[in-house]
Amino acid sequence: MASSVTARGTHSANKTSGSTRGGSGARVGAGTRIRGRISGSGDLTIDGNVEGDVNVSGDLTVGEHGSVRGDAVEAESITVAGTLEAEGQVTGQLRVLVGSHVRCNVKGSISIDEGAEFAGRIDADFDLPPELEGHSSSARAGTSRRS
Amino acid sequence: MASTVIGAGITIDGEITTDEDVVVEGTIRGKLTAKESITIEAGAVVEADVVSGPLTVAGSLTGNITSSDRVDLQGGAKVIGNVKATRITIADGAQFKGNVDMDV
Amino acid sequence: MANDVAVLGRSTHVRGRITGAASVEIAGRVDGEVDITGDVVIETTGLIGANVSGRRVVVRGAVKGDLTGTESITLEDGAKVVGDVRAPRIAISQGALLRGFVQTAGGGNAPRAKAHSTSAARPAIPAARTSAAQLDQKRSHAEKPAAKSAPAKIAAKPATKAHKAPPPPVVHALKKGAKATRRVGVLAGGKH
Repeated sequence: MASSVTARGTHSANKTSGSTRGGSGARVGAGTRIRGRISGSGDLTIDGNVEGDVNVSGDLTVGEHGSVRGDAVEAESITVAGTLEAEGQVTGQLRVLVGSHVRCNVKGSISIDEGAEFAGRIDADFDLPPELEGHSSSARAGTSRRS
Repeated sequence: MASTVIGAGITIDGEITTDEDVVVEGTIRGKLTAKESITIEAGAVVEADVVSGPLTVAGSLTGNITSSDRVDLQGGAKVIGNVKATRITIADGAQFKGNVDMDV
Repeated sequence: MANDVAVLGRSTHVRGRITGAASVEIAGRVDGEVDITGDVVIETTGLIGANVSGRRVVVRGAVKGDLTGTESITLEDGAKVVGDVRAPRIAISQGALLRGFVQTAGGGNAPRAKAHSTSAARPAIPAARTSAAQLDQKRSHAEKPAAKSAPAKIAAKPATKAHKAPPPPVVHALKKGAKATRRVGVLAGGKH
């Protein structure tokens, strides 16, 4: 699969090149630091450090030693073995692996391995069984509070 | 085995309703309503009105009993309350204070 | 014989509080707080309409209320939870559905962006008043020696300062206050 990922902003690589085009998508190698926004189609693997928003159409993987610190992060699926900190919203199917550190608010589904460090709000779209839905109006208001 | 067991060490303050057999080994305060049998084991403390099928009491029960079947107060049971049932047995060693109303 | 586990079967409905040191398995419905020092398992048919706390809490059913685990919380496939989830260790399976805040040990503070909008929908006055009162107290403590000379003047000063307090601490207090009011709401609902 062809993928193109562009990074805008300051970009300093000491060893590896910032993004390598490959069959399985782009990669921000270990030892690479990117400050700025990353967007593109296809998959992206981050083993380096990214400070800024990330938006890719495919799967985003943050490797064990990789980190992403930004505001908004969006991808089809996001798998984190390293660090992900987003002040804004993370959109996509998020997998938080053991040993990772994730701080973000998530719109969509999530799985967290026991032993991962996580803090944030999760907002999945679903209905409780009717027995619980009609139970208290205050919590129902909480359900539709999201904007 | 009964499908609802209130184990020793558990306290329920409130109302319990069930279609299943109930075994109580812990503490219940409030109301207990079961379609099937209720067994109040030795050591259990029930401060509740009880509505049930067959009822067996070996523990302590304070409250009125309404059973669609028989009530069996076993040795060591301590029951304070009125009993309405089709049949009642009070074993030697059971303590009981209250009225008995049997549909004859 | 004494069982150290309580089992609430599928057709069992408890309206009230469940407390104790044993473990519980709930396959029925509980409209009331579950506060157990042992383990809590909420089976696929389990429906809980209030807060649940235990040592290890496993959810396969539905909960509307906050979950607290002193050791761990596991949301398994099929779990539906609307409420906050807090434990040192938390596992959420793919297929578990959640709307709420999640916090593990080492997770740090929640991102502020969303917390801000969350609290905006909640009553602001009581919490703001609390933080203002706290500031008043702190300041009047600090300025006590000065207060002796001109009590009336000093008393008025911290009050205006408190009103001008920068947003971050107020937002922080808001969260706490809002939380408390919501808890009360859920509990009151459970008693009906």
